[in-house]
Formats: sequence, structure tokens, C-alpha cells
Amino acid sequence: MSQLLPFKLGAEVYALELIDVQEIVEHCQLHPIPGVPETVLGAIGFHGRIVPAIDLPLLLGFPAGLRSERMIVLTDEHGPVALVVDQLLRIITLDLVHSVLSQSDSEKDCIRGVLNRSGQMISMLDLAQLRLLLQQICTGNGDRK
Amino acid sequence: MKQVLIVDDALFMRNLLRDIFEGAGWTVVAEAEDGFQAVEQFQALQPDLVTMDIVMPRMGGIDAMRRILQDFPEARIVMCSALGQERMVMEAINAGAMDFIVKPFQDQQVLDVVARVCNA
Amino acid sequence: MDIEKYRKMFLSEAAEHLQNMAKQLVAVEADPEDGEGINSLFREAHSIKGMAATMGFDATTRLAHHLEDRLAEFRGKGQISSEMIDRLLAGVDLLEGLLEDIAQGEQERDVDLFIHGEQLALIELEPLDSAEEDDACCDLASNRMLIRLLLDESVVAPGPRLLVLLNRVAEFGTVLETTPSEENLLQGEISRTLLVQLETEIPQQEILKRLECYRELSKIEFPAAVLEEETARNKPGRVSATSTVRVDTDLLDRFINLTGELITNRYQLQSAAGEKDWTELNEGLGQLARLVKSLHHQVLQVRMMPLESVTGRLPRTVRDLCRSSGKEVRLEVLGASLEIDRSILEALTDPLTHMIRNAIDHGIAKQGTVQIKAWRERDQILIQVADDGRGIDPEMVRQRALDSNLISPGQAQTMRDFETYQLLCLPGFTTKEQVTETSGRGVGMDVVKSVVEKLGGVLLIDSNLGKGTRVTMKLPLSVAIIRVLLVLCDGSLLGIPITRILQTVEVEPGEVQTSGKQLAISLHGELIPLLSLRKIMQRPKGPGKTMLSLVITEVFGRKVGLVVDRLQGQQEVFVQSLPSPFDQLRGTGGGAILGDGRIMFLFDLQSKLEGRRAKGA
Repeated sequence: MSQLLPFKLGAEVYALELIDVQEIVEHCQLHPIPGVPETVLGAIGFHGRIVPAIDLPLLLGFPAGLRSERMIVLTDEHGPVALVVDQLLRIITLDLVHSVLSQSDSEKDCIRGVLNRSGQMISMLDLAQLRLLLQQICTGNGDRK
Repeated sequence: MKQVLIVDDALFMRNLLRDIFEGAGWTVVAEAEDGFQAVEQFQALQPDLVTMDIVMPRMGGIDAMRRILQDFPEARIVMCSALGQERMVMEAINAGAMDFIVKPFQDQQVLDVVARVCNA
Repeated sequence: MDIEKYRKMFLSEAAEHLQNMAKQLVAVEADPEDGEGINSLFREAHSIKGMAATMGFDATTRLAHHLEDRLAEFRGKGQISSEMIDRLLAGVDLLEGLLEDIAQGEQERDVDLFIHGEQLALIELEPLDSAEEDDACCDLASNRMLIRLLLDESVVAPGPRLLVLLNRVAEFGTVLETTPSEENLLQGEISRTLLVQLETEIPQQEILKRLECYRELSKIEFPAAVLEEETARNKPGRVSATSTVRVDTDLLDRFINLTGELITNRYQLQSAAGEKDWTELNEGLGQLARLVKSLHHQVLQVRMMPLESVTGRLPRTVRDLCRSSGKEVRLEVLGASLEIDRSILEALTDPLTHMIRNAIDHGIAKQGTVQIKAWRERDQILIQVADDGRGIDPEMVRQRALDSNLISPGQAQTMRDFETYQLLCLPGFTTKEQVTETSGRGVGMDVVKSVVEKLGGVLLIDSNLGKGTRVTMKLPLSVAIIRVLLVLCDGSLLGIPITRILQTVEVEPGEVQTSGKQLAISLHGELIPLLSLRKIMQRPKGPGKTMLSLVITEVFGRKVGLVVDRLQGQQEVFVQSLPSPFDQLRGTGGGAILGDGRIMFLFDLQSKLEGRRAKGA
């Protein structure tokens, strides 16, 4: 059994396992970081630490739109980094093992697998891929699509 | 007949574990609600196995385990942890816990771990 | 883990003894009749032997014992030959290697070859290391095996699970090495595979059987050999022996006293706040400010180490260089007791060594003196390496820079000498056609410079042809807390380290002059070119203003005026780096959260411009 935090990117539903989430922050002041690519929206002060905030839809090639005011701060193992998404959805609980519909074969889309939850397709965000993508952006290798 | 001491501050968890153990032919010799009781009960009963919750009032599971192992280095102790307590579980293993189970668990998972620990 | 604590203590103490030995050996060579020197060498070796034996480090014990024996012989004779010094130094090197092995948690390397090699007269020490390594990875003796365990996707707590498995595998025999290491697992490294190198009597089949009851495992493999990468990835960066600090008990007492005062202060504030007594509250806050400042000061003290901990090993470096180059060089160290933040000191080890090598290699012709001088000027530490050698011909440097297209002919004509010397710090620049073994490898001046600048300092080069060269590092006292000038640029808050700023001025737009494309102002009769911060940061032009705010700073040894939107005063800030991988963003340094919640980022004009230059090239 696993708890998932689903959110919307464009019209698609993605999700993270709750265990990877450190906190969901609301109405956080974004401070600009000089000289960064546009996918890095800025930094937030998070319990005395400076945590960069990422425009996840933009990073994954979704069109610009109204972003949620709430951000997902991933655990320290994955950053820490704050993800800005289009819309946060309700937490769901489900049995991961029985719900894996398909393994993603594409390396670029940051999807670890797709779940089918009563007809609703949920893409599991691949945090390892995400980290690689961020790495590429930060070192200036590999341009965004 | 094997004997087990169940340590958990939640009555619900104790009952759940009791059902699993009794269903597999074990005797639950005692239950403890915190670390202090666990140490006392172990000294008095010296069961074959202890399932030990990690976070409990008064004295936590890791401290309780350390005290038990001091007097009974052969004690077989299995930690019961919640999700997100990995650091604590590792501390416990480092301090001598033989294995661990993560809540929520299924009967078979518990019995697998128990079987391994008892055969080791 | 107590063993761990003692291991660290052992490592740091033994390292100290070794450093003393190296220093003493060089001193004894200069004065072979120095009986007291040999005595103290003997004592150092004896101490290492004793500690290593207590800790059960067998190879280290034997080698220290061996050195002790040799020294005892010389103590009888009252003198040591140069060849013997070489050998003893090699022994000290080998001991250092052993300490490294211990620090990494690896098996101690072989010492028998060294100890018994004496009878074989001449011994080559170099190949020893590599041969040893080859052995470890390729020659898996019959009772060694590799086990790779792969956790099933569904396992919820992989870290603890791998730890349990590791404990289980350890029961089968002796675990030689694991990937990830136990330490890394405990520190929370996430992995779903565990690679164990095991020495065991138990056959593979039996091990497989015993592990099969772990349903969490999706795969159990016994690979024949492992890709180097797989194990290398895991090795932590060199574990430095200096990661523990010895703190004076006096200082600890002062911490306790401060803590007491802080607790009292807390109650004072609490009651003042409860009674809404503003005078009392103000007083309490004043008190708190004083206490925090004092605490900061004391904590910095703990981080301070004398420069000697780095310069201590330099006599050895100089000696070796002298022997290999046939030059005669005297090393003078002034101000070795000056205390510097340990993180700065650690970063300086390599640059200092390189500067010394440069001085001996390129500076001094046959014989001369290299002087290291350290002193403090207000909030800065200055460390200077000076030689009385040939000096650098600025003309030659310009010519070379011109030849390599680093500068234009126009620049070459107008460039002043002190600017010219900065060219030496460009990557790949070297004044010697033939790169010598010593300074050709390792870090170049460009690396020295970048280390100094990373620490928030400045590197200055000054030379007198025929008289010598002086290289000076200007460094902040501490890295974590620095004083910055806050400036605004299109809404972004930037901090420029005060150490980089010459002055700030406000001028009317009318005072700006144009020469060609370049805007400039005249300040104290000097024409200073202007750069726009917005332009550098690739931001849109700001609205016209009645007054321009300028920060005068130095880039590539030349004064420039940086036009900013607004000056926002000075402040002491606690700098933190961005979490990985954002710390690799080019041109974005550390940042700090200010008291009012705003976040400021450090701005370094020179590296920003260099970054652009590098990109354009």
C-alpha cells in the first residue's frame, strides 16, 4: 500500500509517492536567483534554508499556464527542491503493486510508470530522471526541449 | 511452542500482531505498552522473540532494546516501524535488532521475518 | 560508535606525529650531528607504534617499530646519512598511506616489502601501491567471492533492509568491502542493490540457500568481477584525518558559561514580554545581541587553526625539490602561528605547495630563499610567498599572451605590469617552454587563483625582474559569515563581498563621459570605465534616473565602476550554498537569508565576466 500525492501538469495527472515529499508549502515568497535558466523560478526560504523552486510543467515541456500557489518540497534525498505544479489534487491511497499498468520506456519524460486508477491514468514522476534533468540544466549541458 | 513478547503503545497494533502470531501457533506471553514495561517483561519471561515498536512514550523501542541486549545479548528482537522511520530502523539494526517490519504489514510479511529470525 | 571516535582521534594524532617526523628529518639532515633531533624522531616513531598497537593496526605498528629500530641505531651513532634520510622519509610516506587506508576503512597496505626491502639494498617504492591495488580487484582468491543482492521494487525501506542483509552476509565470513558502504547506508544513501566482497569458507550454493528466504530480494548474483565504476562510485572523497577538532577545555568552559547566560537571558526576555515591559525587553535584546556575538566569536575560535598545520609539511617539499633539481633553497616561514579558519586552511594546502614549487622551479636559478609570510590586516588574512630569484619579465609574458591570442596588440601596448602578471593565472598559461616535472603537473596558477577567489579572496602577483617574485593571497578570516554590500538589480537582491569593493559613489548622469563605445567617469583624476549590472545579468534596461549608484571594484587588476539600481547598505550574512545540483550553476554563488526574510545571492563580477569570456571562446 502506498500513499500518492497527485497533481496536474497541463491536462495530465502526475503523482509522487508521499514518502518523497517533505512538505507542501503555501504562499511562499519567491526570491529571484540571478543568472539561472527560466525553469528555475527562484528560491524560497524553507526553515532557514535556501531551496530552489522549479517550474515543473515548463521543465517537462508543458505549456505555460497558471501555476498553483502551493509548492511541493521534496525530501533532502531528492534535493531539497521545491516543485511548482499546475494544480495539487487530493492524496490517494492505493496498492502500487497491483496498479502498475505499464513501465515507461521513454527516458526523457521523467515517468517511472503509469497507473490506472478506475480509468484515471496517473503518471508516476521519476525522481531519479528529474534529478538528472536538473543536473543537466545546472551544468548547462543538454538544452531543454 | 514459541513465545513472543509484543511491544507497542497502540492497542490496535498489539491486537493485530497477537492475531497473526496466535494464528501461526505462537504463544503471546505478554504485551508491553512502552520501553520500561518491555524491559521488565523480558527480564521476567525471557521470550523467544520480541516485536518492538520504535516510537513509544516514556522509553522508546531502541533504548529498550539496548537495555535488553545488555543483559541478554542473544535476545531476538524485531523492530516494528512506520514508514519514514528508516534512520531509526537503521540505528536499531546497528544496535542489534535482528530484522524489522514496516507498518502497515501483511500477515505473511511478519511470519516471513519471524521465520528467518528464528532460523538464524 | 566508540571505536569510530577513537579511530578518528588516532588518525589525527598519528598524522601530527608524522608531520613532526617529516619536519625533524629535514632538520636533522641539515644538521646531522643534532642528537636531540634524532631523539625526538625516535620518540615520535615510538608514539605512533604505541597508538597503532593499541588500536590493533598491525601493519602500521610493524612499520613504526621498524623505523623506531633504525632511529635507535642512529641514536647510538649520533648521525644519519642523506640516503638514510631518504629511506626514513619514504617510511613516513608509507605510514601516511597506511593512515589513509585506515581512514578509508580499508585493509592496511603491505609494509613487508619496505621493511625487508632494506636487505635488497635499492628498493623501488612506487610500484608497490599500484601492484597492491591490482591484487585487490582482479585476483579474487578462491575463498573470496562477490555477492550482488537486488531488492524487489516493492520493498518500502531499502536502506534498513540492505543493512539487515549485510549483517546476515557478515555472518558467513569476513566482509572486505561493500557498495554502498555500511557508513553510507547509515547516512541514508538510497540504493536497491548491495554488492559485497566476502571472504568465506561457505560454498556459493549454500549461501544462495541461506539468502533465499529473503523474499524481499528479486535477485541474488555472484558476479565474477565488478566494474571498477561500481565500487569507485562508492568511495567517499578522501576522508581527511583532520575532521575532528581538539578543543581547549577553557574554551568549552566558556561555551558552558555562555549557555548559562543565554538561558538567563531567555527568562529575562520571557518575563519582560509577559509584563510588556519595553525597557526591560530592549535591555534583554541588547544583552542577547552581545551574547550571540560572543558565541559567534567563540565558535569561530574552535574553527581556527594555526597556519603551521599547513606550512609544517613545506620544509619537506622544499627539501625534495632541492634534491631533485640540484638547487639550494632556504625556506623561511614568518607568522606560522597566525590562526586561520580550518576550511580556508584546508583549501590552501595545494595552492601553497604549488606556489612554492613555482618559486623554486621558475624563480630561483641556483640558490636562494623562499619566504612565506602571513599576517593580518583588519578583517583579512594575507599570505605571501616571495622568492629572491629571477623575477618575471612582463615583456615576455605580454609577448606570450599575444602569441596565444589571449590579448590584442593594442592591449599589449597599454597593459600595465601588474595587469600583465594576472595573465599568468589564465588557464594553460606557462612561462616556461619546457614544463618541468614538478610544476608542470598538479595545479597551475589558474587553479590557485580560483581557489582563492572561491574563498572570497584576491590573488596578487608582483615581480621585479632580477630581484624576485611575490605572490600574495588576500583572504577573509572566515568563510561562512562575510560582510556584503547589498545592491538591487531588476528586483534581484545581490551581495558583493566588502573585500572586493574599493568604494561606492553616486554620480549624476551628466558626469558620465563617453570614449568610443565605452562609458566612463572620472574619479580623483582617474578615468574609470563603467559596466552595467543589468547588462551583465542580461536584464532589461532600467528607467532613467537622476542619480547613478556605482560600486567601484577591481576586475583583472583594473578599476571599474559597476552601475547598480540601488545600494541597500552593508550587512553581515551567513552564506549557504544552494543544494546540489544547483550549486553547479555557473555564476551563481552562495546565498543568504536576511533578517527580513529576503534572500540574497553573492555576486562576483570577475568570475561572472570570466564565465562569459569562457562561453564566448
